[in-house]
Amino acid sequence: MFGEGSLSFGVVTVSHNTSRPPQLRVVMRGALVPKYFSGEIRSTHRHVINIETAVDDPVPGAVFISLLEREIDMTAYGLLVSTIPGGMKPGMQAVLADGVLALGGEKIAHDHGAGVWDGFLETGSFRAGEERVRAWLENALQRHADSGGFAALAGETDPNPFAARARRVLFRAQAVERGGRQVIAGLHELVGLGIGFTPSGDDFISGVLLGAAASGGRTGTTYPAVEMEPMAGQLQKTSTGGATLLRLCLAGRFPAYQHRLLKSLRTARTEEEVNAAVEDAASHGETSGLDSATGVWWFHSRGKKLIRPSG
Amino acid sequence: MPLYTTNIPSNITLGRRRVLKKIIVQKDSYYDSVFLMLINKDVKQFPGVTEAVVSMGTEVNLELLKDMGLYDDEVANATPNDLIIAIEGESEDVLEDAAGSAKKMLSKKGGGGEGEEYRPTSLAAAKQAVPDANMVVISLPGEYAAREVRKALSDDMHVMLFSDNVSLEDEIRLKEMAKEKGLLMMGPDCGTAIINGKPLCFANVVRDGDIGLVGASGTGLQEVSCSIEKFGAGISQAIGTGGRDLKSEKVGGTMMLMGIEALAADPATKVIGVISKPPAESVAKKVISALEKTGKPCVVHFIGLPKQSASGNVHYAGNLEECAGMCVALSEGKDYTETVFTIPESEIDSLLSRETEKMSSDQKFLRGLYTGGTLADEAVILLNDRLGGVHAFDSKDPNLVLKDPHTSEKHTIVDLGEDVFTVGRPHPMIDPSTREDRIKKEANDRSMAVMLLDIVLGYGSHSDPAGAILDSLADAKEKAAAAGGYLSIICSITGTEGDFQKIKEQKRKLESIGCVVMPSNYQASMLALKIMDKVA
Amino acid sequence: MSVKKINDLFKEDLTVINMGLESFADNLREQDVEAVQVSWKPPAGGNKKIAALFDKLEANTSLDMSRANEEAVDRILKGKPTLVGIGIAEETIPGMHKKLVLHAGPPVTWDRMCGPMKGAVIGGLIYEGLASDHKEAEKLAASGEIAFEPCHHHDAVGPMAGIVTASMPVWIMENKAFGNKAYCTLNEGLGKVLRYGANSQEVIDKLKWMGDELAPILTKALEMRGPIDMKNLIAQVLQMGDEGHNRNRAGTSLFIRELAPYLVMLDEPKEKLQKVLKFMHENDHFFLNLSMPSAKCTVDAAKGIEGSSVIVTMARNGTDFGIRVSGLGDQWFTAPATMVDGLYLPGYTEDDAAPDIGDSVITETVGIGGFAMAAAPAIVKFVGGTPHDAINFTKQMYEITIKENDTYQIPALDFRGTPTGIDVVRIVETDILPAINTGIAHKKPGVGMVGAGLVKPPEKCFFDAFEAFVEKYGRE
Repeated sequence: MFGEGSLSFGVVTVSHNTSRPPQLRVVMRGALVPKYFSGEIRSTHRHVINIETAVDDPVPGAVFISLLEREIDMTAYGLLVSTIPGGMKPGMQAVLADGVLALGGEKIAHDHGAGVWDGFLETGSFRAGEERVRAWLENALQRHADSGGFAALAGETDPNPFAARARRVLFRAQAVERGGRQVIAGLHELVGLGIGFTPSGDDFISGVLLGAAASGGRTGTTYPAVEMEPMAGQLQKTSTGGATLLRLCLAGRFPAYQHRLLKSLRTARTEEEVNAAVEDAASHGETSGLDSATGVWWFHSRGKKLIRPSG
Repeated sequence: MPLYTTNIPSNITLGRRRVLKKIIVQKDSYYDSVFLMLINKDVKQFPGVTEAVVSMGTEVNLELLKDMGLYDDEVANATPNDLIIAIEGESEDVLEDAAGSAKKMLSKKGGGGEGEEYRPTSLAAAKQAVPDANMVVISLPGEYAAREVRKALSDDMHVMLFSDNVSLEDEIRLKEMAKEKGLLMMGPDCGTAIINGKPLCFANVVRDGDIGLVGASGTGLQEVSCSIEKFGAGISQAIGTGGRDLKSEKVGGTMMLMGIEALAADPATKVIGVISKPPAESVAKKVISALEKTGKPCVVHFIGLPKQSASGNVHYAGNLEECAGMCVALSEGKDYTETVFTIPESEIDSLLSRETEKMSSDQKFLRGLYTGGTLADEAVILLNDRLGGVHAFDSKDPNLVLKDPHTSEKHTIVDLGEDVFTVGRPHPMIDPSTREDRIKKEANDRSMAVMLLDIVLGYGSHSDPAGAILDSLADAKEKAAAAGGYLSIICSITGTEGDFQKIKEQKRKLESIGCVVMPSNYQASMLALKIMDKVA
Repeated sequence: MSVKKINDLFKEDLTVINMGLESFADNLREQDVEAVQVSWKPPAGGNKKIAALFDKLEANTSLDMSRANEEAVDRILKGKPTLVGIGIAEETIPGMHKKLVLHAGPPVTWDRMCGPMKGAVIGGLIYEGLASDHKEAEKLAASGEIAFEPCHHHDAVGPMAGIVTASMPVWIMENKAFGNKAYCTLNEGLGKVLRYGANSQEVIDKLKWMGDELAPILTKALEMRGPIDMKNLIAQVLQMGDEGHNRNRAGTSLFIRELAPYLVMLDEPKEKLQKVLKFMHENDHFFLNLSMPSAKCTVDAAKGIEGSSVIVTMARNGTDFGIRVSGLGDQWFTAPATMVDGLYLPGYTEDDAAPDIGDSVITETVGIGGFAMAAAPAIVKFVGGTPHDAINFTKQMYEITIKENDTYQIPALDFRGTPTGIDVVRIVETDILPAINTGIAHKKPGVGMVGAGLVKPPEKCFFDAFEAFVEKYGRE
């Protein structure tokens, strides 16, 4: 018990931050969240706080680590807590050290006992058959052609200049051999293209990777179906939100909402169910969900055929 | 946050139209995509804006903007985390307006931060903060709602339970608890109540008076209370019981009976009105018996049941408006005279000829597009027999069930608030676009003669329900005229002068495009019937 | 069925708590109705398992938990801890004998004990004459001949290592309201003392002095004065800047003041009396060993109440943290002890720290100590920032307790009573853990205190206790 001679209190060494202990508990910790990081809060929203920090792997660059309160928003760069703390503002310092996250100098959450969220997907077949689901997906996406994103690619129209450009880029996509495997090349031109804080092109690419991952093996164990190097080289050419998403998907670790999308598509038995899955995706972000769904559709319509001509 | 705007001085002339540009570059922007879309929508709404691009300053996007001619030095220096708002318009003024609006939105949001003051995180904490709390309004997801209700009741607070998807078992248990404690537990699935003159959830601002209502139907309570105001009287309390209260024998009308007893003991209440869909028989008996015991004049309206003759102090009404009319008469000590229309007959006649004279012989059917479930039900009940069968989504008659709820057949009345129409979308009273879509679809059907609509005002409803569908209604009329016929659109407005949507303005808007606005859903349905009689 | 309350509602102003769609609250405010919006979260952070347990608990409608808890808290509030005397452990503590060593915290075996506790045990065995040096004592301790039991199992409490052996003098505290008693050794002082694991000859000698001189003198003074009302003293010290766990200067001063007039009348050599007074004066924490048994006998009255989820014991032994719940009998729920987050004295860092240890958290269990941090602004400097933080801490504790104390009040909170009656169900519901502030011992035995700070107990104990509670009282 302290109080051992009041004189000693004038000369106390502070061995670490003496603010009060964290009140929140991290329920889940994304597998890519570094053990130690230091960064700045970039934005605060109703259910998310985005912290920008730098990582080195696979290429150096900025990334968002997000403090979340809803499981559907979880990613391998996320920290899931029960409640987003109030009073946080952009510009505040964010530090994660010794299992404690501090924001604005105040200890907010500790991660003892936190589960790890790796973001890998278990893959499997489509209950209704790949081709049927693909066709239903195509119909559903066409209904959202006016979304402002890439959903129009599922049809013939080009209602916005970004989708128009994307169409041209995709037309030129081809297969190349890398490390003894066939991968899709040319998609890196889509990085950063389109509307949204995470540009449509990035969401689209993540959807392509999602679609490819779904075709076999546990993600993270197979090489991505899209050419890695140019993609990694493009990361700094898109917004931090887009770069974060691409890093995740290139590592085979997909965000929770994409897990849900894929699961719905795989387990769907009827066209209604596919429609419902697309509507659900449409409610995520503004066009992010639709753009990833479009990427899934594209993989199964064209991408797959590029790298497995016989398949 | 640094904010650069540029007026590109030189113009590109496309044909004879001048195209001017204005570009805003907002550095270091971390807004979420939803907000960015809002800016996009906001900028595009100004007439005269020919193109608007809202995107992040990524390399690829900059290339594209360059190709589109939306480029300058600031844009050239933009980085991927900068926001670019590029606007093309027909005049400087238009650009100023649009850019100004976008800038206002950006400044309100600050740098992407949202501050929120402290709020209690639990019912217990809230009660500690506000020890005088006497009512808890719960609209949480159904699976969690029951727990919170239990906590509220055990802490001696009355409850309004808006949530649905609460199990029957929970409802029974909670109402037993409420009964034991003598507290209100309005719900589950209770959308409307007016307590001490204050509208709760979806309810209207109604004049104070001496008529007390207890209802198992939200829009039913709304229609009756608004009609009471229209007749010059007012209400003391409007207690909701939740839809299942009378329907389920197990619940046995617990809340209805408590409401009746409370109104009986309430000195401010002179007349008691009861509104519900037909209850289970044993429950109906209990309710009537309870009303008889009150000794006060009572009016009962079991929607869909034929009207009975009065017995003792209990009177029976045949429709929602009549329920209101009888309550008012009783409160004023007058006799009630049964009426159909409160508008002079001559006016009805001239409306009738106006609405039918230009119809084509193809036009044979009635389409009711409703947002209030009970109002839709009332319309179906009034019209079904006389029209030889009205199709509905959940008709009791298997021949009249719609094969596809989204496609009308012959005479059809739909309640667009049904689950099947609200998957992934808000209720049509909140978001009129579902009904708008249906109106557009119906407009292509040449066989439609009459469109019947409800416009529900009050708290919880959209800020301009009439305005939101006005264009599609006008288009529908135009389409009918272009096809050589005439579409009669009949509406009623459930609302009062106290409601924030400005009922007079709503009426004016509808009448300005030729819609007929009747004083109540009953009268609207009866007028529709008269028109159909003439047409058939 | 009475509907009086509904008719009452008709006459009142509506004051609404809104849970769910915010627009409902906004609309109410527009009509001048006071409406509070709850920032609601699913219980237990959406943890479905926990939510299912809550459902099970609620399904038992015959369980009146709030009444059981009300009874438990009332018993705590009625408590009248009174110092009635001093006795020798063997003669006073039920079940005490020569080969029994009592320790702090939940049950623990010799091999699992942390450094400081082992050191204290060794010192205790030497003090008792059961071993002549460290090696012998260690061998004896490990041999199985010595029984180790928690102080709590014998109506006792001990700070830090909390070692009690047969010959030690103990305070005798009686809860006059219910007749139960609690015991605690006298505080040895600061620096190298047994409770921090020191066991040198110096330590043994001091213990001997305490038994031979200090205790008998104090006993006589106490006999002359009569029993001391501790509740009254504690209420006063909370208004003098103490909180009864880490800050006890006022308490020690008041205690000396109580006994001084009688000490002075004793027929003892002046030097001996002076030594006693000096001893107490030099030890700011002398009062801790009185506040602890006061808390213990107060909260013990709430043990064993059917259906009550009030926590009646919290304790640590340096290896495990353990709790016991009123309605769950004597069952301990333990989890590995956590590290203290604190300030270190010059020359020490967190690498030197031992895990959280001691029965002193009995003070928090009764609602003082960390729970009354708002009463001790001085503490705050060492556990975090501003006095405002201390106030916030105490405020948070109101969310997990049942009532406010009617005697222990906090001036800084407008004399609001301290949070009393920790409810394990509320802890699980709100995800708020009890706030404890404590001293930090050096992990090596015998070095002493190296710092102080706040410690968060392991939540596993509370979740396990909650599960067991539901197991016992829930229904499908």
